[in-house]
Order: sequence, then structure tokens, then C-alpha cells
Amino acid sequence: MKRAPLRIAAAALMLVASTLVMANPASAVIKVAEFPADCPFTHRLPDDPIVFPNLPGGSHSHDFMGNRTTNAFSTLSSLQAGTSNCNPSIDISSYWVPTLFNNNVAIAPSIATFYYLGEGVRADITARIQPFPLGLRIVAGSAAAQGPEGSRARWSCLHAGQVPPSGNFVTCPAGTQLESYLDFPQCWNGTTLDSADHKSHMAYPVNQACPATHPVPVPKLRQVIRWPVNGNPAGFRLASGNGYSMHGDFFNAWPVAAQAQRVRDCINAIVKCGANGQPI
Amino acid sequence: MWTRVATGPVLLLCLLAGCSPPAAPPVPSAPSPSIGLDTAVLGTVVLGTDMAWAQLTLALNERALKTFSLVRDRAADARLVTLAGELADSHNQENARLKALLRQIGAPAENPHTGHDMPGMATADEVTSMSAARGAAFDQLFVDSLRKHLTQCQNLAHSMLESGKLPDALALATAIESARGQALTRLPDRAAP
Repeated sequence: MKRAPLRIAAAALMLVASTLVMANPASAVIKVAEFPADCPFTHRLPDDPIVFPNLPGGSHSHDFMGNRTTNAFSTLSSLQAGTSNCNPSIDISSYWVPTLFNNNVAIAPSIATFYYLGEGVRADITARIQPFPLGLRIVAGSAAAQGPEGSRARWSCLHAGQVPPSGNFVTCPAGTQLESYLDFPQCWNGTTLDSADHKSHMAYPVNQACPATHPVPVPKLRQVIRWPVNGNPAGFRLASGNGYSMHGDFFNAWPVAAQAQRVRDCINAIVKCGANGQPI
Repeated sequence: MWTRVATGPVLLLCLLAGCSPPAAPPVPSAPSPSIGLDTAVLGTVVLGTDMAWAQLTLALNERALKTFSLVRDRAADARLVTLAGELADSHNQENARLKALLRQIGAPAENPHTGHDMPGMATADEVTSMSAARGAAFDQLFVDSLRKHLTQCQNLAHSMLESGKLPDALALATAIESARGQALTRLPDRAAP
């Protein structure tokens, strides 16, 4: 007779225990290989330290994000001596895009997020993605493209997913923002930080793998930029031309340890992390 | 006295071991174990300024030549006709030297700046407007456009002289900076509105 309360108590204890286990599972991470850097607009110059090194004013207008010091004369050393407005602020890399104009008025980005991703290659390759080497320069997209050929531009609307993405500017509803997605090449030749055409040292994957010419997998940089504009795009233009000419430049200055930690714990491990490099 | 660096294409990229004569395109080796170290000079484009300057000046010159060809049949001011004729000749000579320089450097065959608008260039729309204009109206458009071209070329040549490395490129930049400055002094004063 006295065993019934004991059994009830044991059952109640197990119920509580199992509830606790469910509330705190061993792994609560989101299984996406990703870490971000949120890097707002800092300054605007007709400079480009990759394409027009030491030739100030030689470039069409660029909007710079992240490192505050970037100009025509920037080198890895000068960037490393600078500061950044990125979150995380240790990312002192420099990111830049052509200036967007609306009826000839320059419009600075409202939001700029750089996602470092492990997607785009097979899972076994994701597991061995290496950090970007210090001083690596990458150019994505084509400033010369004025049509689909050669363009990697993808335009859409923030908070208006019903607007189909396009290679040229799109019409965003009132209250939403024009946005641009651009994926950078994620396979590196393993030997040079740049190349004569500033593109050949990097390649996009083929069939989810890095080609033999560019065997080193590095993070896939996804550049997502938003501008406080919407409506009729007839007045929109980039400093490089129409929307097809959207491009992006990246000059890596991440401190080695900080990037390596994120690549290991977030990309190789396939864990979605926040700007601090920790699981979300 | 400038000395020629090499007769063949100069290696554009200096790998970590130092510059060596270019042969076949480099076969990528295994990932460098020094990825974690400061590899700031590993394979950066040593002649980046020289190459960019030559490519951009060539593109600027080619766009300007389009405007020079409009002058003879449209200008009111005979001095502009003379100037445009001389500039066309000198720009063509410069372009030959710029192309030779780019081959010497080993730059990619295609000029990345050809065919789209860069600062200092008359835009496609401006060239269209100039084509349609005649007399004093043409002169004003042409002089404004020419001033921007000359000034930008001068600025770029000056920057090249401060940072460039290849002696042949520096010599050409010296000549171009001087020529653009001279041409600027020959621009007529702004016509009365």
C-alpha cells in the first residue's frame, strides 16, 4: 500500500527531469555555417586601392564600409593601423561598393552586412574551409557589365519579399528599402593575394567543389547592402552605370586569430554565430 | 637616365621568394603554411600603379579622341581646330607607347576601363550633345569637356610620378603630365554667356 505514493513520486520526478532535459538540450545551435560582420557606411571617395592603387580620383565614386582609413594609398599595413566601425570592431577589413545615386543625389547605404558562409561547397569541403589570408583582395561582380552577361548583381526589396529579384534595379513598395545581394568567389589559388586583373586568383566553385586551379576553399562572402530608397528606379544609377554593374571589393585585414576562431567554430563546425563569433 | 627593366613582359606578381623571370603561368602549390602570418607582399601586384595608370590613361585618351574628331566640322574658333588636330596626333602617339608599356608589364589583353565612363571622360551623352552642336555652343561644350580630360590626365600622371615604379612608365608619365599642362594653357577663356 505504501509503494503507490513512492511510484507516483518517482514518476513525477522523472517527468520533471525529462522536462528539464528538453528545456536545455545538449546542443541548441542553429546548424548553418555562418558568421557576420555588420559594417556601416564610413566615407565616400573616388578611390580604389585595389584597382587604382596610389591614383586618387582615378575611380568612379565608392562608398566605403568598415575600416575608416581606406583610400587610394591603403595597404594592409595602413588598414591594420586604422579603426573600423564594424560590429565586431576587430574586423578592420575594408569593404566598398559603387555609390548609388537617385536623380544624381548620392545615397549612402542604411545597412551593410557581410556574411561569411560555408555554403556553396560540399559538406566535407565546408569542414576544411580556411580563413582568408591577411591582405587578400577580392573583387566580385563586374563594374563594366551593363546587361546580364558578366553581371552577378541581384536586386530585391527588404521587407518586400514578394518583389521578384532582378539583375537590374527593382521597384520597391513605399516603406521598404532597395537591397543588393552579391556573392564573392570562395575558392583561392593558395599562392597570391591579388592578380593582374584582380580576379584570376579567385574562382567560384564548380559542382560544389573548388576547381584544381583554385584548390583552397575560403569563406563565401555574401555582401548584403540596403539603401533608404524605394519606388520608381528610373532615377537610380550606380557610379559604375546601371544595376547590372553592381560590384563589391574586399580587402581582408581581420586579425588572424579572430577570424580563425570564427572559421573554426562557426563555418567548419556548421554553427550559426553572431558578430561576436559565438553561437546565436 | 632610365634603364630598361626587361625586354620581355615583366613579372607583374612577385611571389614570396622574390621576383623571377616569368615563364608559364604559375602552378598553384599546396596552401602556404604561412597563411596565418603577415603575407602582405605575397603575390601583390608590384606594378599595380603603373598598370592602372597606363590602362586608365589609354581609356581616357581613346574617349577624348572621339571628341577631337568632332571639332573640325563644328567649331567656331579656329584655334580649337588647330588644337584638336595636334592633340589627336599626340594622343595617338601616346596610345602606341601606352599599349607597348602594357605589353611590357604583362597586363591583361583587355583594358578593363575601355567603353565605360570614368572621371575625366566625356560621357556618351556628352559626346552625343557635342555631335549635335555647332559654332559657339559646340565650342563651349568641347572646351569644358577637354578641360576635364586634360586636368584628370595631368592629376593621374602626377600621382603616377609619385608612386610608379617602371622607368619607361615614369618617363611617359613625365611627358604626358607636361603635355597636358601645356594644352591647358591653350584653352580659350570661357566665352561670354
